[in-house]
Amino acid sequence: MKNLKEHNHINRIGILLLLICFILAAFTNPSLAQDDGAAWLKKIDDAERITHSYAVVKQTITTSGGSERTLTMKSWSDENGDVSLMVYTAPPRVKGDKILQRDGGDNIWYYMKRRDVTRHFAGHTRRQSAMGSDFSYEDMATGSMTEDYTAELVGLEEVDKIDCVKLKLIPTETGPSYNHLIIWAGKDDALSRKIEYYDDEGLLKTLYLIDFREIEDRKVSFRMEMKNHRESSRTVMEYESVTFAKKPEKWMFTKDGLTREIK
Amino acid sequence: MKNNKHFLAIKLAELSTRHPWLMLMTAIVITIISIGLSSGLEMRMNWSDTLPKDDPIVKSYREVQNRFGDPFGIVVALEGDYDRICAMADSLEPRLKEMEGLYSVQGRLPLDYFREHGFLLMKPNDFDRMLRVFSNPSLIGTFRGFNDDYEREYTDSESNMKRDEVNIARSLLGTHRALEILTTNLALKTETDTSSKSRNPVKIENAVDAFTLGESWIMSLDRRMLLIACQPVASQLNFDQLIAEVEKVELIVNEISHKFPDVSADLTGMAKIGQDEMNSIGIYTIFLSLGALLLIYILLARSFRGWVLPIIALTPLIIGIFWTMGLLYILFGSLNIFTAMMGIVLLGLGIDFSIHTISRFNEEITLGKGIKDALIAMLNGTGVAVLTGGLTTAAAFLTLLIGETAGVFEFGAAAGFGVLLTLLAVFFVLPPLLVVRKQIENVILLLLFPLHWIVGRIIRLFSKRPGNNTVPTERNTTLSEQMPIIGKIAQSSYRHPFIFLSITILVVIFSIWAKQNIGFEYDFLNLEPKGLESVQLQREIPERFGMSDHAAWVIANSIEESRELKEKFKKKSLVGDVVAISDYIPPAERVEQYKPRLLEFRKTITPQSPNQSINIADLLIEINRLWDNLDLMSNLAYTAGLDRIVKVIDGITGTESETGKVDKSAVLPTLTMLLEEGIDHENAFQVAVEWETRMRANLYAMSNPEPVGLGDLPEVIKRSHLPREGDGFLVHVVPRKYLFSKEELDRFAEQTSSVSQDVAGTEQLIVVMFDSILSDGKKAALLALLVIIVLVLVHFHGPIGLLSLVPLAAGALSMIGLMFIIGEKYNYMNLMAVPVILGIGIDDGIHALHRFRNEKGSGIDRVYNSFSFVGRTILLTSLTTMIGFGSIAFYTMEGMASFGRALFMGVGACFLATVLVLPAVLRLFTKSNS
Repeated sequence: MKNLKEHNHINRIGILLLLICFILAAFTNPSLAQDDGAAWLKKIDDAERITHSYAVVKQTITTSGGSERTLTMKSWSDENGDVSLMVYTAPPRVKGDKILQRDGGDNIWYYMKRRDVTRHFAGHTRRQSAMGSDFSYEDMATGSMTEDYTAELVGLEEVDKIDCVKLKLIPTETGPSYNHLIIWAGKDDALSRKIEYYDDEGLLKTLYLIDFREIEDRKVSFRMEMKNHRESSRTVMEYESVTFAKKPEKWMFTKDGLTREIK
Repeated sequence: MKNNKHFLAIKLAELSTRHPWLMLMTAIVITIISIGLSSGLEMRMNWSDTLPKDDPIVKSYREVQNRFGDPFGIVVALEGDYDRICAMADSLEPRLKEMEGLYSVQGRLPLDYFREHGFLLMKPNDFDRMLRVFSNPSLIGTFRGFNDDYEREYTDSESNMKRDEVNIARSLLGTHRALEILTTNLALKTETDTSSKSRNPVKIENAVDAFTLGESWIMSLDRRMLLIACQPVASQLNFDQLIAEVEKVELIVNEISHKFPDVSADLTGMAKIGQDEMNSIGIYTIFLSLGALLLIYILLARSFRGWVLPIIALTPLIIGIFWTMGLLYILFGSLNIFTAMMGIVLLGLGIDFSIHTISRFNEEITLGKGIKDALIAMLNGTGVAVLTGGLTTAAAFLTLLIGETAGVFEFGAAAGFGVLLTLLAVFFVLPPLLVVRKQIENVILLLLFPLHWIVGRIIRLFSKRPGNNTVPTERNTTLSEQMPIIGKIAQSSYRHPFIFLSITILVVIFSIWAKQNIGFEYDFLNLEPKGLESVQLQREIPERFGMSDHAAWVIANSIEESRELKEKFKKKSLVGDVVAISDYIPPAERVEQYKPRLLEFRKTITPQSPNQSINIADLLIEINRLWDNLDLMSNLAYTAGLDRIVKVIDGITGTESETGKVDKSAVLPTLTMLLEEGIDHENAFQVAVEWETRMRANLYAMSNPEPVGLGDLPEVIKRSHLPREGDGFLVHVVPRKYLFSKEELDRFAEQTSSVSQDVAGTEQLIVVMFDSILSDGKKAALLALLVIIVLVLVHFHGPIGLLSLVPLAAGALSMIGLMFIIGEKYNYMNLMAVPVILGIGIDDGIHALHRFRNEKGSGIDRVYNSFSFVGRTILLTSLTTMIGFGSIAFYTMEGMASFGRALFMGVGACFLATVLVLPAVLRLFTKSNS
């Protein structure tokens, strides 16, 4: 009887160990982690993909003198974020100036209303700071994440008391210029809550997405804060309003359209 | 031991009564010698003089100072209209260069050197662009070249723009100047006079120079301030000579200022600030010491009810201070910001010794003892207590000798030895003084007895208070009179221990919270004397010039190493600019690479006949394009927060930075309007010819392909980068901005040290200073506490002595709580208040506990009696100490003032804690006895 009990006990331990081994193997198997990562990335991509939008945005930047400057703008996007147009509404100095991005940020035009001139920016600017913010043009481009990155699930963590999946994103050859990204996205809604951007020297900046609100059946972060750890600067982008209901007109995203009044 | 003490007391009393004048004369001779010595003390009031000497960063800094000097030792700042400040600088610079005491004067930039080697000094990207830009040296061709370049690749790289913000802004100052001269020249008409000599005081060739080579002076971004940097021969180590050079520079500046009343000329730089600090603190030290002395005198006069005894009480104290100053000269040769206030500190601390001893002497005299016996009793009784108390305080101060920071170490030595010397002066000078006073008093009384008798009668006759039939004299005045109010307060605490202790616990909890939440002051300029012009300028310069006015330094072993270091430093985000010898000496491979292209370029711009005509419409197009491009660049810079670029471009275009409105009187609108309205064609042609001629000459010179060596460098560059003796090349690493937060200072230190461990500069030193003071303060406080614990255990023969630490702890913590309430931040000076208060604040607790233990009766009676008696004394001694530290709070130098404020509050808090908390604690521990 005693032997049987001992035998059963050993069997149970053995089964338990075997089970643990399977679980560990499942979590440590790189291909499985990558599969999960890819699935999660697709989920995030689907959840965050915006076909077209219109928003009124307030952007606060840190000037080189250390003070803060707030700029407000109207912003339109279309073609899944491949084209976008921003028009400054304040302060008065830049009111009416426009920035047109095409080809996911590869082609950028700046129109200055005061002098009525348009200038084309070089293609490599997509890596550069967008409008002086701590966002680069490629950070702001809303193209397909699954095309730009490969993902690996590295764990589950809480961000702002929300259960998140933590993914490591490696840029594809045609993808962004970073070394890698670490992204935390909600387990329930697959929306990004925090993104760390790494270059070859290490952590460069961190994006925090907070203040999620329900807009037209979509959950949208109304406040994005990018902290640049090297420059000790930060940029806050806040939506004052946003809608996905109305598709912007095509001419708005053309160079010639820059000189036209938008009603 | 007791016999020994008794023997010493008898001998000292005998000596004082037999040979009082001999003792006093001896003291006077030593004092005169000390005064002589102390007159040689230098006032080194800069915080950098108090740095830990053995720290590797400090060693690197000193090495740079010794080998290269301080390039920003004296900075002359001229403010006014652009033309006027340039004119004054033109007059001033040669005079300064004549000064033997100045190693280097950097005023007008060595533009001739850039004219001779400009293209070789460019990096490959800039080289290609500039060859293209200057391919057509005509007036219109030059602007067209620039506009094409702007539009070719509009935003070269915003990151680079961010990184090179200041250089871009500075280069645009040259454009501004060029446009200004061009506009003035184009506005002239042929019929008046267009001969090139008398047409305009500023010739077109200056416009071309400004356009190709940049602004010739170190000019602020708003073009209203100009700097001339002087490097004195003397270093900080030879402070007197350094100050003498500052004074000479001031004389010359003042002399030339008379010719330029519309220019404001001021001085700053480390040497000038050092002089200002010395003058400011020196004068304040004298005034505050006299003020403290007067206040203490008045307080004592009131307490002793007479005017002579306070003088006697203060005399040994003043003698002790002089002795201390003499010793400090022998030990250190100078005073620093910590030791400069030593006189006032000792005044506040040392007066306690005199008060206690004189009080006891008077008590004994009142009891009818003779002078000698009174002295013996005084020395044997109170003398021993004073000696013990003094030694405790001295020991607490001497714990600061473990400090690595020179300032802390010197303060510990000065305060520790100062207390010991003051004690010595009290024991050596006070007894003979009391003897002499009694002798004189007896003679006077004998002579004035009739008058005294008459006055006494009159007073008795008119006295409103019946029975008050004595004229108060100092003879019967002692400080052991009761102060019942303090006894009653202490009684309340004893009666309601839980109420008082609960309140104390709340205060302590708040203070502990405050301790964690008080901020740190890393902006050392905030600690400098208020209202100093040199300090205000120091703060203004980074704002006006767009970058920090001081640099970190590192010594490279070769030109190539300096080039590599520069490239590495430039990649760091907090580094604004790096100036190295390699900026002026191109690498050999670059010379080889550029040579054929430069020779080719030279052929195209070889001086030849300029164009024979000028198309004004084309010029207008290019000027309009320039306006477009500059304005757009400014808007981009505005949205990018690059305000330095915005400021300079807006100065050219006349754009109001926030509203975008245009000031038509700015140079570009004026030039455009001028061209639109029509200009004298012949004059314009003459201008264009002069422009092209000079441009060709400049470009020809700039495209010199010959290699450059150290020997070719202008003297001012050599003196900025080469050591006065030996080898090495100094690399200047300038922070992007004025850094004053711990986070940024640490990051700058981290970024620069990741390139080289030997980088040393103000930013690194601030971090070192704060960390060292924090570490020294903690170590010293712990050691002081240990010493105090041992001493109270020994003094009270058991753990009961530890009770005296309770008011000390409550008082010291309350000091921090009060600092928080009045909005103080920790700084490198007030951090030292913590170990200091431990040494000072313990006295009240010891005296009160001591007296309590000697009292008999029930607990409540013992508390009342002891606190009634001792309360008066500790109140008086606390007040005198508070006067001392309170005086320090009036220093204009914020660092010193904050130290004084902290200790003023600390001493007061320790007194209150002794009266309010100690009785409650005694109740808990003496309940069974009461």
